[in-house]
Amino acid sequence: MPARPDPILNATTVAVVFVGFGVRALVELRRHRRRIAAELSELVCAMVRGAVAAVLDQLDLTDLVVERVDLDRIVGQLDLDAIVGRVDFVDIVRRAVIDIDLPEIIRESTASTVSDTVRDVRMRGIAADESVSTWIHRVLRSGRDTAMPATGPVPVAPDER
Amino acid sequence: MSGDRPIRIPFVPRDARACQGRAAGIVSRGLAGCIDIGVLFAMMVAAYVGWAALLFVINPPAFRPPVVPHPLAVVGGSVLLVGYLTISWITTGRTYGDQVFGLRVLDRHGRVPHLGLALARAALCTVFLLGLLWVVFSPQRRSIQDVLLRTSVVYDWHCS
Repeated sequence: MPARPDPILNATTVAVVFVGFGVRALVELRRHRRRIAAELSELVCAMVRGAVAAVLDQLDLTDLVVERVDLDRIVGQLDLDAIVGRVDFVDIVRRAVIDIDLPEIIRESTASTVSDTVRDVRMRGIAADESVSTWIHRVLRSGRDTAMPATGPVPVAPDER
Repeated sequence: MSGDRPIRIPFVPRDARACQGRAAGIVSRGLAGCIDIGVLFAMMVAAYVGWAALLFVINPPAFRPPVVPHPLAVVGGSVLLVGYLTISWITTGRTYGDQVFGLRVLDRHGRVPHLGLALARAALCTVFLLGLLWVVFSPQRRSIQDVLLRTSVVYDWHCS
């Protein structure tokens, strides 16, 4: 007749095994606690991100802000001087004036006879200078080509600036 | 934020912007010189009229239009021209004629000439006016005065 298992012994054995697993689990947990914490943190963050994204997809934040936020009150608390102080208006104005060629617009709108005359005189002077330079250097080059055909061409009216 | 920085708006027309800073040629410089000669004569006439008015105020019954000896007129005109050119060049770098044609006299550093340089250039221009003709043959468009004093005359339509 086979001997009957002792229930107390079995229970003790099971308890010892569980305690052993528990101790081992605690030891493993203690050994790898940083990695486990990082993995858990990453998992929780991913879950939270997903949940927040899902919630945000269901909401119209613009409508919510318009309905529930007092924008006038927020704007009233802003330090507009500080904001304005960070903007380089001088540079903005300069670029805008140059881009739209404001001086030309002003000149055309005012139609100043004197300034138009001066501008015309100056432009004619520049054109005459160029014509004289071109003609003189052409003459000099042709003379040099006749005298010394082996030399290269004379540079045409190089400017110093 | 550059609140203290002045806004410099280029008023030079688009078609003239490429010429700014380039050496001016004989036509512009010659015509500017002609205008300056006219200014000189105007100043001489003003000086003569002022002198005559002074004589008239001092002794009206004995007033006769003053007769200016030729050498005095030449020397006085030369001194006046040297003074006019020097003051014009050290202040804005341009005479009235240069202003009309948008020219400016610069030294070798690209700045307005200082007093000594402007005085020497004015004296050279007064004594040897024909030195300007070297602009025609100079690749850098320099007159004899420019070559000697290492100055240049450029197109510069900007104010001041």
